[in-house]
Amino acid sequence: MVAQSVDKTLDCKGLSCPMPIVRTKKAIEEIQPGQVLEVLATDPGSVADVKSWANRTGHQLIGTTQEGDVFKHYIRKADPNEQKPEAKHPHVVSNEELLQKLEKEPVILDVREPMEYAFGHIPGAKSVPLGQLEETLRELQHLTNQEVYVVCRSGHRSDAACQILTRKGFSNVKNVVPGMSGWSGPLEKITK
Amino acid sequence: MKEMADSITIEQLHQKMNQDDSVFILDVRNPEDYSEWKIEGHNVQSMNIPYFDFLDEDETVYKDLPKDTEIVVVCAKGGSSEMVADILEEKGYKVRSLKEGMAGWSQLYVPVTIAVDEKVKLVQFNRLAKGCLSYMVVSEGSALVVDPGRKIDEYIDFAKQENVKIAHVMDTHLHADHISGGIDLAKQTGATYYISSGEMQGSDQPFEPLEKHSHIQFGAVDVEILAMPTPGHTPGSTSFLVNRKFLLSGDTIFVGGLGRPDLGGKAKEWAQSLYDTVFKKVADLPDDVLVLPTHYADIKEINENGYVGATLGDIRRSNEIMRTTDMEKFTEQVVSAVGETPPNYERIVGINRGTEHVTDQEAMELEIGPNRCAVHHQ
Repeated sequence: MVAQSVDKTLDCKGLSCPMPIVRTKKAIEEIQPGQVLEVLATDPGSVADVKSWANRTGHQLIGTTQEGDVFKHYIRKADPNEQKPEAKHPHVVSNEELLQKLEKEPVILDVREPMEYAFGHIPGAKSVPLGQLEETLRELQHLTNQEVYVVCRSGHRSDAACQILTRKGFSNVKNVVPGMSGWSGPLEKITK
Repeated sequence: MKEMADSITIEQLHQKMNQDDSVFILDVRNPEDYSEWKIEGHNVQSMNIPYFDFLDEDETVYKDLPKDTEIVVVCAKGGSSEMVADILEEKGYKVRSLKEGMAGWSQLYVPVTIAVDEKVKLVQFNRLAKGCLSYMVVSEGSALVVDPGRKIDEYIDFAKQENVKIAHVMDTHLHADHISGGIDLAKQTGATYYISSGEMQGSDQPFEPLEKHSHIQFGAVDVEILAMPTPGHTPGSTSFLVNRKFLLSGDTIFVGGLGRPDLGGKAKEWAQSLYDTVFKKVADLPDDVLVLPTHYADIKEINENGYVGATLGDIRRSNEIMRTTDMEKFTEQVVSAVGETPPNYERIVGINRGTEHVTDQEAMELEIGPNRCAVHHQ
């Protein structure tokens, strides 16, 4: 599940500070915005440093896992378009509004990448990555007249998804803003 | 050819901190680690710019660095500081990179003599980076070590210099914030290792139960060591009264307050025994007894003589908690004042008890970071 959504893997095993970050910076320059870089490192210092570096550079640290001595960091390259979300879909709800309705088990589509979904999503949310939305439409046909909440990290990808769904005849689609970046409600994770 | 910046050792940095009017430190670790713990000193000025900010060739990142003062660049282990120092050296800054970084800094022990006469010498070993204190009492060819840290060569070398044999090694309690060198030091020197047996449940390590001794004497002179159970910090906590003049108080009484009672999961019960310690056992001791704790929370606690310690009278005067005789109020204040638990404390306790075993590298990484055993009441 996780391995398939990695666009590039960087092996920093055995390297110590500063090399894991020096190489990560170089590798991220070589992938496209929105793509995911997997960094393998054995230096325990890399855990805090990758997080801090990603924070400062605007790239998204999706998460870190550990297998034995090896830390696996998943970093999604910043997409300049996502920095300034222009919500075009007119129907939006706030995170808080969705949180209040959560116990009624609303239909939630999470349009982030599978890896982001795996590291934490709203319980009950269905994973439909934006890139695969159109080919998944048939499976979603039964939802055309239902209330559907669409969520991503910052509200940008979910906005695009809302527009696609509306165009395809879904009548009650709502974009959740800002989305997972500001989510304080319950989270579900997929672990191996 | 590319220029390489010079390096500075831990000992040289410490010397510089003692000699120079001011020391400028550029800490290039990530901001989270920096805010957690850093090199401090009365004359230390430090600035934090993470090393990864130097990867883009953007000079505005470090435009605030002084051009005319020497800059000591510090990171976690010495790798990133070297990279940053080289970059700055090329730009014309006066820089040196701290060898072994904070990992090395955490292993610096500074011995300071507190008292000396013809018969007895009392030395405090200050592990600056962690705020950990340990002690050696020397008399007539023998020595006693209290609460030794992991780097036992410090004590062995010091004893060699003094031409004395380490005969007794004691821990005031089972430490939760740093790994004790007690058992290893006793093994290497043939000394007896003492700790309260309540602390060593489940341990297969050899130790002499402290509760069996009310006095431990060594040397031809009468160096009286009074083991006084002060169970406030952990159930088997002990304090040592040397010649009725010096109270090695462990983690029970600090210059700036009291120990934290919560690390055993029974904060309330322990807070009550801490109360008994303060108002029954210690209450009988005169104001001029010098309290020498195992930890300090702030470099301000290092006094003008270069050591951490204060008379019982001063501590009673400056800490309200020492005068809070209402037991309920006392318990409430002590329990509510505890901060974050020391990192990895459960594993450290296991290692000190001998029920968990780790490599040197793991041991170093487990105990690195600031000390969180003291309770701040201010």
